[in-house]
Amino acid sequence: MKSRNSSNNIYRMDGIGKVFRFTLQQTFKNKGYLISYIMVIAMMTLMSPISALSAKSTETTMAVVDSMKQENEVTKVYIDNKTDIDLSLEDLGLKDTAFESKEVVFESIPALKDTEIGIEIKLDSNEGYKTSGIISDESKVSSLLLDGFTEHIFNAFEDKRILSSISEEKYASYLSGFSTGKAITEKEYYELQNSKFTSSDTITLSTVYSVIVMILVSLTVSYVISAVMEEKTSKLVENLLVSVRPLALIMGKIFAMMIYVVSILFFGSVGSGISGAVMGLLMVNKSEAVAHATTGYEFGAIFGLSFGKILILLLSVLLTYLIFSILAGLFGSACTKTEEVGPTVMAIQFISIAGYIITIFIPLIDNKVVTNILAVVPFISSYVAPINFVCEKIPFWLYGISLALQVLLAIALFMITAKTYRKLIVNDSKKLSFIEILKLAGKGEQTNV
Amino acid sequence: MGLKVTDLSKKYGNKTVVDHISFEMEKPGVYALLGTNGAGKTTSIRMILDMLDKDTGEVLWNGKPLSFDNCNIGYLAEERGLYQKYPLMDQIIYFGELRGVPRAELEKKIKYWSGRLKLDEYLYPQPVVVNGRKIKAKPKSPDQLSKGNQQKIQFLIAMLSDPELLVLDEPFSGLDPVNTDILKDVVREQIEAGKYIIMSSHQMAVVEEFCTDITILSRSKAIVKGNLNDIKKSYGRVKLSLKCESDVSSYINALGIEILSEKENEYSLKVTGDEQANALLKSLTDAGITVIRFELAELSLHEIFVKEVGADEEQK
Repeated sequence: MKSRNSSNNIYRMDGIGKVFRFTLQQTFKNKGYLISYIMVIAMMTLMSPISALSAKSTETTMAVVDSMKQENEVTKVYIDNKTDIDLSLEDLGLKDTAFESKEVVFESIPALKDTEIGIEIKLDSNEGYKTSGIISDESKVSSLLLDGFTEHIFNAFEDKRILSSISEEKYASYLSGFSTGKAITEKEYYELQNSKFTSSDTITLSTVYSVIVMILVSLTVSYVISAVMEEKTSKLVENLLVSVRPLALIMGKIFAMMIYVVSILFFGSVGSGISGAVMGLLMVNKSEAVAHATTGYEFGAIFGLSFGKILILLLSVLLTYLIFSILAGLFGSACTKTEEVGPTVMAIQFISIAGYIITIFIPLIDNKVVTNILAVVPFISSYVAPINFVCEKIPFWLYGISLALQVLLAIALFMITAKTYRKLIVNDSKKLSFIEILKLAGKGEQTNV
Repeated sequence: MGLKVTDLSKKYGNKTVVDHISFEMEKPGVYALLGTNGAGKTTSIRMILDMLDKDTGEVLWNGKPLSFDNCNIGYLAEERGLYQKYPLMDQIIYFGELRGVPRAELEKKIKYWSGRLKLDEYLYPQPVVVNGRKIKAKPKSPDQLSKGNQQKIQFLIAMLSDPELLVLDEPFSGLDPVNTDILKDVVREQIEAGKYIIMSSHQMAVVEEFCTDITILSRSKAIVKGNLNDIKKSYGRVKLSLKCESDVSSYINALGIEILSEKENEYSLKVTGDEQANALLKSLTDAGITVIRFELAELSLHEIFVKEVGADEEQK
């Protein structure tokens, strides 16, 4: 007599809310989790000020100096131009900098007071044109400020020197660099002409999207697997299984850990936004220097996305996140010993990192065939397809197929979990491979309920 | 109605771990699943509770497939487990809520069972007085409790929903005599309250105290099954304890009765049945010998177990 297979009931998730609430509550009560939660949020919050403070560019240095209000220490700047190239106050481009309101004079450098700066520009027979920053021995002006300002003056002088011999257009042309174009079809050419996204936009969007997904996946995978293993090693699974269905048990845990990680990113982003805004308020020079100092990327492309595309990306992030989280729960329940957790986490993170790297490199390769194929490869497509659709690199129909495959993958993983979790969670003999899990799922779930 | 287990089997590869086991509990009481280590007791329980797939068989509760949807089940698993680092009270409330016990009722039940099982000091730790100030005690977690007390916490969890079917896998193992008595009292109460109890144990004396029906498993098969009194009766009254005022060895030997032990006119004898015992008593009284004690008894569960399992092992 074979027990009946009641496939309807294995998908019931009564009690999932209680499992979710308890898991989340205990995660926040756990000191280790709480400390890592606070630390990650603190790191994200401080990332903006730290990167601004450690930035190397002249503009950034000046912006940072602005924030420190050191410009108040400088009362006068002497510029001693010993070259035959004329340099005016206008050429220095001091607008929107800390030195905008300072007294800048073009004359020989006298004995400097402790709040004065001298900058000498000369032509050296060996070294060429050269600027030197000078302060008095008892100067209150920091060397950081002096270096930053000296470099700024040198750049302004260089622009003037070159522009004195060639036109502005030619100068811009020289600086623009050169790259070889690849052969494209007429259709591709017009698609390219009509595209709203430059290659730089695509790189930025791909990077931002894949980084967000990768961080979410990487953190959640280890948390989900740890949570599942904690239950297994605590040997109370049998007690749970007479109270709650296996699917509710695993999905409750997965959702709890997903929310835990999302809340880290949410509060971290809020903290980062606040600290960025505070840095902006402290800096007099709020121009691009700050943006570069804080990010290193041009985010204009993101703000230029339509609401629909932003929605597509957000839903894709959630779908990808769900796929990898269920995968983590499934693989975690196949582990039998704590030592197996590390390699399992790494295996899933490897897939995720592969997706991340491929997504970043696709715009650089810029090969339509490769992009189209990767848009339908399971797991990788979750990274590749949405962003390439948003950036108009793959057509809507292909994105539709990719999305359908991703949804099917999520449903398949969900069904495999429903069919195998009860067996996996009580299995303590040996770790099962993915193939063995699939075979187990193929046998179907036999249950009284 | 009640519980009906029919033709339960399980194989792992080529190895049969449970071989067509059937039993029935028509009325409340204690059913004991006995057997040596690895005989298939826990696997049977896991299949009954639907944690493991059955290769064959079905488990019915009041005529319907048993599940926690149609039967309020309390379970004390053989593998004792609690979340080691989580506060005890949080875990108990979690399990209670999963079983659908309303929060207000749950708190009352936890309080009751905490007192009943002598767990108050762990579940309701008293404030600590430091420098004359009362400081609220930190909630206890399982890793601060002995194994025996963790086991009692799990028993408490099993009792929270006032289960109609209680499955106790080795409930007394690892408990000291005091806690064993506490748990025995609770089991007695549950029997009186008309609960169905399945118990697996190695402690035959304890099982004998409670159970009405048994199945003895050996090498995955049921080798003895049925009502305990009937089983005992089937082995006959073969244990005779005899004490006389003088040496009666000659009377015993004359009837061909086996002497198991002898000490100062006190004998432990193995008779073939009531007739042989009565014949001995008659010969003694006819001879005018004063008999101080004459006690004819059935085999104990322990003796039946050893006899049957031993015989089965020999056939191996």
